Amino acid sequence: MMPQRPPMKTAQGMQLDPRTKVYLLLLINIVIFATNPSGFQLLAKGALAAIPFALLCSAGKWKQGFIYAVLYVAGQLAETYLTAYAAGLWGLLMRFTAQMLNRFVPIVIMAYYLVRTTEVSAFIAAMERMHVTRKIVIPLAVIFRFFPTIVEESRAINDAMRMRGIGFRGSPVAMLEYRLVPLMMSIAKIGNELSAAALTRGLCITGERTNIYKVGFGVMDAMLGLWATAAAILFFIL
Amino acid sequence: MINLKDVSFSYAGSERESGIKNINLTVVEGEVVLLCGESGCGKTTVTRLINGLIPHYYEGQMSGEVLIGEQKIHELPLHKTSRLVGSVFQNPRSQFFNVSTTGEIAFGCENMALPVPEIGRRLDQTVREFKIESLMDRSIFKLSGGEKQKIACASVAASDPPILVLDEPSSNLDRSGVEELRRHIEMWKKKGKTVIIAEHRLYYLRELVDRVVYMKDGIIAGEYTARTFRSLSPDELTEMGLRPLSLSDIVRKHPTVPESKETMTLSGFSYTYKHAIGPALSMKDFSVPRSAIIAIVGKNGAGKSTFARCLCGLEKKFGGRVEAGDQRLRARQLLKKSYMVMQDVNHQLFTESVLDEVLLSMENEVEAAAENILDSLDLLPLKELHPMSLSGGQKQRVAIASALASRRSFIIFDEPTSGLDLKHMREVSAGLNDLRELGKTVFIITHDLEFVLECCTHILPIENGAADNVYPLDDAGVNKVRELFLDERCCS
Repeated sequence: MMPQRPPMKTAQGMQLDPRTKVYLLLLINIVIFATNPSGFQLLAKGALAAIPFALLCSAGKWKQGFIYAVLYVAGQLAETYLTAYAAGLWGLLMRFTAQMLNRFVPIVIMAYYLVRTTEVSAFIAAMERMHVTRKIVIPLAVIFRFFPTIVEESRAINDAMRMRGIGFRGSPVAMLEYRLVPLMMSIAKIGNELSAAALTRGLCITGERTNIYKVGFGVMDAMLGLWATAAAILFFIL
Repeated sequence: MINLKDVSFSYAGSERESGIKNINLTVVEGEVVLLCGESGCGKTTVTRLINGLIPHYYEGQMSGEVLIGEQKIHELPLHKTSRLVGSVFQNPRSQFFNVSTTGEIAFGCENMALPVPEIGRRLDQTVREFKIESLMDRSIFKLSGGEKQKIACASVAASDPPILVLDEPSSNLDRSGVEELRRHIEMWKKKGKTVIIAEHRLYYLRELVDRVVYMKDGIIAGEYTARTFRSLSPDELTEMGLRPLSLSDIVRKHPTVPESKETMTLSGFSYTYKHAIGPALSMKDFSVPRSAIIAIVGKNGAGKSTFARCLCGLEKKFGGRVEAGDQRLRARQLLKKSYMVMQDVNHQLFTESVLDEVLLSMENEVEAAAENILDSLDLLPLKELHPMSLSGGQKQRVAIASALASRRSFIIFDEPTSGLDLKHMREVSAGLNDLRELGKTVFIITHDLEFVLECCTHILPIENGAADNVYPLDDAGVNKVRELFLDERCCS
């Protein structure tokens, strides 16, 4: 019997079940987009925002974890103490920046962690245990596959634009168009070929499939799950 | 046994993907068959009929029957066909469903619902056979094109189907990658697998194939045994629009162009990527001729792309410079003086029509001049079309057209002929010659010896990030570069 394989890149970090990661992402989303928190709510929100930090550190990404923590705290402090005093355009700009930092960043980091540490196959298996139909699971799995692709493609397009000097002329709308059109085309083409390749590898909507990755809840899943649930409940009753 | 009985197919709603007409083809078990012919001859369509993607994924009008044994592939659901036929495609970037190498190799087996211990056994065996121990448990996005194609072959091998279909598998590979691919096919042949390969690059298959099917305009225009195919003369192959069967058959047909007097000096061409252990590039100062076509040759990972990116000014932290005449150019100025035609041209086509694409690159938008450029590249009839609706080769020519229109001093091409047939390769070289005659200095990263001998004037070999000299492609140079290519093929 072969030992079940851990997903990549978290070698020394903790192994969470894909379901736990999705659950954490959902909770962080819900709480962080709830209306302006105050007082103890901030603590509960902070407890949730600490989860991506802990996960980054456990995956050995200390530097990124630290940067994230600084950004989040700075954003939260700025929103709480500074925006009240700033008025006009600067106030608007500052509020916008502060909210981006303490709202979007935790979600983006959590999503990044989910995508980077979850195998497509493990994800499909975990979702099937929750009896989610494969009609929903497969498109979700494709999104996983697409994050790195989008990054790769945008870099190349960026290079091409710099080379043609498109960055320096034309209206902002044209700029956006020049960037998005090749990206969309490229992604559509890759998606098309990717689907064809996946089909020739026997991926289908029905039928049994196996999975070589470990799926199942462990101590860490329980701890993080409880921590996040408790924080979310406190957030809404406080 | 694979049996195509009077099969015709035309793609739905697509003008550029040509179909096939009345194809009759039988492939017996254990046979290795090469499908060849010019771009658009229908060879890819035949591979799609065998792996079931036609009619189950690509839609269109189909008649006739495709049989594997007793099974009608056109009626069998794809996941059942996938147990009979494994497929390797042209583009290594888009044939992976997983993010990690191990997950990808196991993927087909998982879909067959094999028990986990059996998948483990197959994984171990495949890893051993393909010698890919060092590639396991890695992100596929961090692999080179050659490594990706190796994983693609290993992935289909793990599912162990009796038939393998390869659609231009060597397009994005360097010579050592091609050699690895050849070994994989050889291994499959020894195991008694049936292998069908659609391909432009023929030399690596010379000793492997049992039969060659030559297609033209959607029909089978000739069938050859391996022996008769090998006996075709280079001229006959050229007549058929095919690439040479042997690298040593390739001759330089054009007289050496007189060397231009002007040179430019490249200095400080050193570059280390962030987080990298050693420098990707560390070159001594050297001079290259201007108004020349310089082939940058060397193995994958030797530093060719880094050199090109530095020369284009794309690496912001690159500190070297180019001195041409009285000009001293650093990274910032190089960005405005040079132009790279990328390997994936999809990334550099931005506008809504072919004509607009060329106009965008012009300092003064003159439609007549743009049309001239398009005409010289055989693109004029397509000028109103959206660049993204064109075929791969046509897109590349649009990018070349915009390079022509941009009137920059140095133009760099990243593997412009990968996946091109003879006709289009020659068109590219004619275009490059025009560039040279206009006084441009053209650099080409290439793995295509035929293309090098067709149009290049100088060779710049890069090895381990270093380049010692540029030599002209005179008689001695031709021998030298041929040796380099043949040599690399057998030592890799």
